[in-house]
Amino acid sequence: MIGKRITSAFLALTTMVTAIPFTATAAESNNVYISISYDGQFINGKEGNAVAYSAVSLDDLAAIDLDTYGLGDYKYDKDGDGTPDATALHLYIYTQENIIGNDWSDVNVTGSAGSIFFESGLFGFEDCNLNYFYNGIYPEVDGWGVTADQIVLSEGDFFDIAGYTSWSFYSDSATGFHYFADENGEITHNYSAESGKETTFRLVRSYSAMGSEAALLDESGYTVYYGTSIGNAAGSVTTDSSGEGKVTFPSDGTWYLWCDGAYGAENSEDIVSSPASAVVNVKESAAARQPQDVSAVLNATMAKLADTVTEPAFGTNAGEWTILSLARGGYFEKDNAYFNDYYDRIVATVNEKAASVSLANGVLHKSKSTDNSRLIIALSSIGKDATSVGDWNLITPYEDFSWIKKQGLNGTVFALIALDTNNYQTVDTTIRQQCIDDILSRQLSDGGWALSGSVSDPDVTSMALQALYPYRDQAEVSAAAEKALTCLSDVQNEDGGYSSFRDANCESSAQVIIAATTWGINPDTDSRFVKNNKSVVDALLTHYIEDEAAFKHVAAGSANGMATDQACYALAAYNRFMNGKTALYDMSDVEFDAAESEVVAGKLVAILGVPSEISDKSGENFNATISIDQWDNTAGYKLVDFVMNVPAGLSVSSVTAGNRLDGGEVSYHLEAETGKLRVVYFDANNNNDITVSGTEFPAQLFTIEFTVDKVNAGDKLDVSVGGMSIKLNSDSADEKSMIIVDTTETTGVIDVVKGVSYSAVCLYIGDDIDLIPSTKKAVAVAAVGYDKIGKLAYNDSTNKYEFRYSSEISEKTGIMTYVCLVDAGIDMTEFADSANFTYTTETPADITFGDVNNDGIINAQDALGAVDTWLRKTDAPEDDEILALNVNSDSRINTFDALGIVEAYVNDSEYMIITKASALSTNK
Amino acid sequence: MSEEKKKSKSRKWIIIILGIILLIIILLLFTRCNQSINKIPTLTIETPQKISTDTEEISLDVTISDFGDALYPAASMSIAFDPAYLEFIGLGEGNVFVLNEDENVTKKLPEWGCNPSQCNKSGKINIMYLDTTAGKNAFTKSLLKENDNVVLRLKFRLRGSASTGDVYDLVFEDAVFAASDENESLAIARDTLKVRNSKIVVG
Repeated sequence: MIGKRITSAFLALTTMVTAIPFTATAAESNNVYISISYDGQFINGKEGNAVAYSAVSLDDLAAIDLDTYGLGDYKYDKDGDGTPDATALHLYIYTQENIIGNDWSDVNVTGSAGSIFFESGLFGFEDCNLNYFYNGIYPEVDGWGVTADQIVLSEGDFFDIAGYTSWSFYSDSATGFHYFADENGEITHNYSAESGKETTFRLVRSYSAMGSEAALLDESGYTVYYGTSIGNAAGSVTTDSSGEGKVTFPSDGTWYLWCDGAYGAENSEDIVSSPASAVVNVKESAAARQPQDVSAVLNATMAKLADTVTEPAFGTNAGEWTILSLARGGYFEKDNAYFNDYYDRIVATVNEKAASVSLANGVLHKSKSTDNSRLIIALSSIGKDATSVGDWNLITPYEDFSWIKKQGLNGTVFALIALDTNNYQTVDTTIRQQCIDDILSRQLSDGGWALSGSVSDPDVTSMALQALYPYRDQAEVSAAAEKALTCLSDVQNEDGGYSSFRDANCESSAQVIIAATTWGINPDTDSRFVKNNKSVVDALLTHYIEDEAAFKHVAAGSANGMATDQACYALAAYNRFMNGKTALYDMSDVEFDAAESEVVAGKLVAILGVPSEISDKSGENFNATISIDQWDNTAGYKLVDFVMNVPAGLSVSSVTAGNRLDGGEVSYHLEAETGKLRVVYFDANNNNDITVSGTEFPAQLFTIEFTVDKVNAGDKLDVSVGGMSIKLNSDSADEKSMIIVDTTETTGVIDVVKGVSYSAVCLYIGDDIDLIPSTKKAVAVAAVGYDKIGKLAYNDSTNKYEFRYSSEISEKTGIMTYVCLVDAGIDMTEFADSANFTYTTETPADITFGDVNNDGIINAQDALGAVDTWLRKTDAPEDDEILALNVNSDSRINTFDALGIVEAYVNDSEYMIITKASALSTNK
Repeated sequence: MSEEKKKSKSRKWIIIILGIILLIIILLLFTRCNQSINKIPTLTIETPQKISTDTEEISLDVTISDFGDALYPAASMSIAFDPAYLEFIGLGEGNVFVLNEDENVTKKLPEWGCNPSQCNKSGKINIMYLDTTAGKNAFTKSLLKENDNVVLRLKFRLRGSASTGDVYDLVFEDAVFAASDENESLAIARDTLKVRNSKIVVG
């Protein structure tokens, strides 16, 4: 009886405020929580739900007037502000009436203020054999207690009340209250988990009694249930020796963990401890989301950009961002004519703009530093050094921080990004830190950034994150970034997208993707950027218009240039991330041109093409070709000459100018004693300019036909161009009168063979982007030793192919040449092995490049066929169609091939694939 | 058989024969009429009046009589000439439009690709138009006028070698207005496009 009284006293007299030793996590705003159990099971409230960590608003408690319950004497005003405080007594009343659903009049209350006592009827219990924990501990301070009427409640407080049939709970060593704990061992009622992913929890028992130290004891071997409602278990697990258990929740949503109270250690038939509960917020597992492959959309968008933005130039539209997209997306190789032509336009623009600004230090706009920054970013992406663009150094202006800052946050953010694309250095080494400090100083209290106002904007926040990444080792930067990433996660829309200026839009999602990938976060799977199983990547793709291969700004809009640009380089960033490449603005993977090479005019390079093998038969003919990598029709070239070293045993039958070379005539002479072939091309009568038609390079300038006089099998014939120059006038004293063409690579070795021999070159390998699979490559096989054109079949016991005869390449090289699209995995040496070939004298199937419909005529129907193929209006091309279509010999079939057909038709020029085949060295 | 009966019989035969002849005439007329409805589009290089040796520039219209119902996103023509006597200067604009993507301006003149320098080198005028959207900038019947549809104009100059009495032929070697469905293309090679060549007579 004494024990019973003492325990009652625990309840009624000694409930008190203590320091809170454990931290309840994720308490909702202005709520306190109550759990009530009897004999180790949570009791049910009036709604049939377990009273387990049930939330009660402090506002509702404050509204309770104790006078109406005849408890006016128990009002308590701890802070003396004249307003009675909400106390545990208020919580009991509210719980009794609103959660349990019983009348307060059922409760038998005795005692006085500061020593209130509940004899019976509280929460439906018949007796007062209860135990009671407040914030996870038996409430005591220095042995003095405070009764329920004088416990002032604060947000997040939690009460656990456990009733028992047996009073043995008081003395048993296994008594106490069960709780779940976090990884730090602190009590928690909330876990976060991902569906399908194992989640670890920990179960503890709080053992605390008057006069003893509070302790949280790990509960090992304990059964813990989980389910979507307490009491309705979907399964159970047993805790290990450290009290930990692991649960894999099968789906997202709200789940619960709970355990029952336990029997006593000394009183094995009596329940002596409380149950425990925790809410688990199960999100769709990021791991369960397979990161999606966006390459198809990226490739289509890039192809459309390349097709529609035919002449990108300085500017935000159809300019730098398009270049960035195509360069970082890998659509064009670094030295592609598309980029080179853009650079030429940029040089002219920079020279004009920089000269027009009074600062005259490389500034393109006196107050918009982003003009310089945007251009530097694009130039870096194509390997162009910004310190020497035309006549100007675009980095010099960054010495002036006030100029950078004139554009506010945009200025400093893009200055950092631009400078870091190629580790550009400023004389004032504090510039970068000034930019960093400026960005950090503008961070808003919600963790993000905005150009104005106090509410973060996802675009600006993302851009700041992109700029700060290289400085993540600075503690302030990493802390700011952590807040910013949380901010971005918090403001993400329910559909995974982002809004700026109230509109959910494409560009905001794009910038978030770039920021995430920059910081090594997968925006398609990381739970921070996935809402309702919709990622920010999903959201971006909702703006894609498949038919137009473009993006719209907002859902209800139409295709938009800026949206398409930003989406494209965001997809490029994501694709790079997926493929383990550097981030969008980390251009350490770009091979930069040497600065000086860009400002030296007229650096032309000659290319020699010779067959790798010829027959030892006297009287046989073959060709060598000389091509050039660029040409300036405006330069006023008047004459081209070169000297070729012709090996003994060969004579020169003819030297002819290439189809694209115009304005002169060929003259040549082979000096038999020295083997020097001297060739000159000019217009002796009219002194015309020498021009090269078309835009594709290299362009073939000359074909030299050799005749075999006397050579022996096994001979190796060295052919080289000893010197080549282009002259602009006849004044030898004028140092600008002549351009020396680089001929360092114009050497070739020809093997003389007896009988039949094969050699092969690879013309291109598909890259999966436009219609040519990466599993296929085009090879050209030169066959020496046959008298007549015949049919050539390949069989290496695994692969069988029938090669097509190319009269165009054969005529160009003078060697019978066949082409075929083959498995890219076959080693090229296999195509030089005569054992793999069968030759018959039957008429072979042939290939005419550009004859897409194979009707023997090349005209607009073929050009349109290439366009239709690229637009996927026709079935995927067969191997032979690929060979005919890919006239520019890159890795794709697209509108460049269509334009190649137009150019060849109009200019009577040869296709790049023929030029390439005749100029390639053998892979043998 | 009486004379009256004989006359009656021969009159009957005359009526039958006349009826058959009439039927044949009607059938022929119907066929001709039908042919004119389904006539094959013709591409014509205008043959000019005699050209005097001091004419500075000769401009020849290249006209199309009609199109089919398809869209023609590409077109090309290859016309042989003798560059020893004629210098091809370039192209002049015609009056046949192509569609335009811009909703505000629904048509525009096509931009033909042509390289006069190369043409004079090879003696072949190669001209091509390509709509890389495969339809949004295509030739279409809807933009043809009832007559006088000039696709483009060929501009020449007589070289100093030209002399009175010479006749220089301009001959189509190939021409096509290409549709995505090749069966709908108008092409010399498919006999779905007729051509009329031209002569320049120096007089």
